[in-house]
Amino acid sequence: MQSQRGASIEIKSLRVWLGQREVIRGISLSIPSNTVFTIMGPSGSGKSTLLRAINRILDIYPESRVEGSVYIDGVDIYSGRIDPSDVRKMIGMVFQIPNPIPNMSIYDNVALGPRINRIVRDKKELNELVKWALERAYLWDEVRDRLGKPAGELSGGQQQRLCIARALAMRPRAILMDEPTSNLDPVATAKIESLITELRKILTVVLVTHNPFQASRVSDYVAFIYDGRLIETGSASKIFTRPESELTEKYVTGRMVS
Amino acid sequence: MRKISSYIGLSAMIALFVAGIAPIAHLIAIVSIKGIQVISSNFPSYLFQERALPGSSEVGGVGPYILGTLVLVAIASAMGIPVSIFAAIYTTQSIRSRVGPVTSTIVRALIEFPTIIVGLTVYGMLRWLEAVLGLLGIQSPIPRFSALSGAIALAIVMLPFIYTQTEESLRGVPIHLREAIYSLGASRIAASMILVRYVRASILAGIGIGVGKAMGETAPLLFTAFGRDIYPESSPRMLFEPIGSLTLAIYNMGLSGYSNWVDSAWGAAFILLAISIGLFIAIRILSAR
Repeated sequence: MQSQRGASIEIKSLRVWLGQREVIRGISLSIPSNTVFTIMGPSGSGKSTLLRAINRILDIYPESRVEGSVYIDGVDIYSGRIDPSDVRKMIGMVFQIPNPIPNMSIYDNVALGPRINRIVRDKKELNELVKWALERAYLWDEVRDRLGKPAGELSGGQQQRLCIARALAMRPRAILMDEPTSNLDPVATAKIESLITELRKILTVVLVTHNPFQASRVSDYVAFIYDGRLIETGSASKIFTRPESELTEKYVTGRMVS
Repeated sequence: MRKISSYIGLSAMIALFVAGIAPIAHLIAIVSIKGIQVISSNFPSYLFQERALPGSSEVGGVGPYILGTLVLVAIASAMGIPVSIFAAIYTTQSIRSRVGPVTSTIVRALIEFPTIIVGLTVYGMLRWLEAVLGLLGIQSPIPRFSALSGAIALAIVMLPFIYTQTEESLRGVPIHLREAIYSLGASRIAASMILVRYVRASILAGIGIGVGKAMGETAPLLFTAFGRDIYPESSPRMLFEPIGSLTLAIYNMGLSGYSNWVDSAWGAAFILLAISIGLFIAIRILSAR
């Protein structure tokens, strides 16, 4: 399994409504390939909604409406001719709550994407892909002897790494992570954070967090959003040492009540 | 004081439980006792023979009725189960469509529909089909009084039960699981198949309720399957001819006033009960897997 180039993502004048409420109010962002790009902001600022617009998973919410564009390697995924499921094959996602299919085995969870999208030719290739994905998610050594066991039997941290493996098994160009460690203990969090920094070698990582310390530990670039608007974006070192906006400074120094 | 009120509450609960369970227990007990008596004294011929002449000393058998019930329920299930499940998948997966909620309301309303009206509607539709095809000089493929028309009526009876259970269990899937499946690039069809697999135990319970309900119905068969007391001559032809069923037999023989037929009706009632309980157990075993 060779490494590949991650996708570059360009968000232009994006507005998102959930029902009558405008959650994202015209955000433009540029996410370079093979970087860890963190969208940071207080609870309710719209960061998870923004993330869900990048792979069009918002489409499964009947009350959602999107205006503007998201370009993946120069292709607007909101143009009429694009099938949302094709976007999601290319852009993987990991969620706040570890969400393996509980009654499926560990193996079947990782193999789910390749199976439903028929991206492997035979069982041998699928086995290799599952092993590769679990190794990349630092989980192989812990589960190699119990691949047939239900995924629901794993610990919370293991389940989240399984979800990362499941996303990786689709060989995506980018992975979206929506507060992947918010339900995990510090040890499990540290494992996932080191995994995130490793993953940028093979793909682009877009991370959502409300934790500025996590953002400073893992990010190459950071965007701070507040109330559906982009307040500031730039390299992580700049945002955490020389923020331009007072709001950003308050947030990263822990003086903003979120 | 607290102890006394606790005792009163507990006693009231037990009394209500007994009051609720007693009629069902009584019903099962009386059908079982009388039914087993009839079947055991005529075993195994009772299960295979046709019914005896009215007023004779022999009880005869209910073979054609058992066959009829099994044929009707099998064909009705083959039609009703897939239609109900696909309709429920459609309404839950058509996220932005307005057809979904309309379908849901109509199918749910069918639960309250008197089942004799279902039978009459199927009868009327088949008459209409016969008339239209007759104008073109073609014979209707589904005769009004036939196993097929009875099966259509029973399929309509089971549909809202299976549909409602499937729809509710699919709607009950947590959004984070739905997101997990769609985030892997699953198409709506692929996602639906995975979701159906996830809630299969609940869908199986719905199938059990729907099929059980259809199996116990008499009214929708009066204008459709019509009833028949002898075995059909050949298996393919029997689909196009009137067919008997256990429920119709219980209704007809139970009200006949001939003691041998009334006895036979008790046996038929027990067999119907046994098939229903067997179905319930089979569904429980399948759901647990």
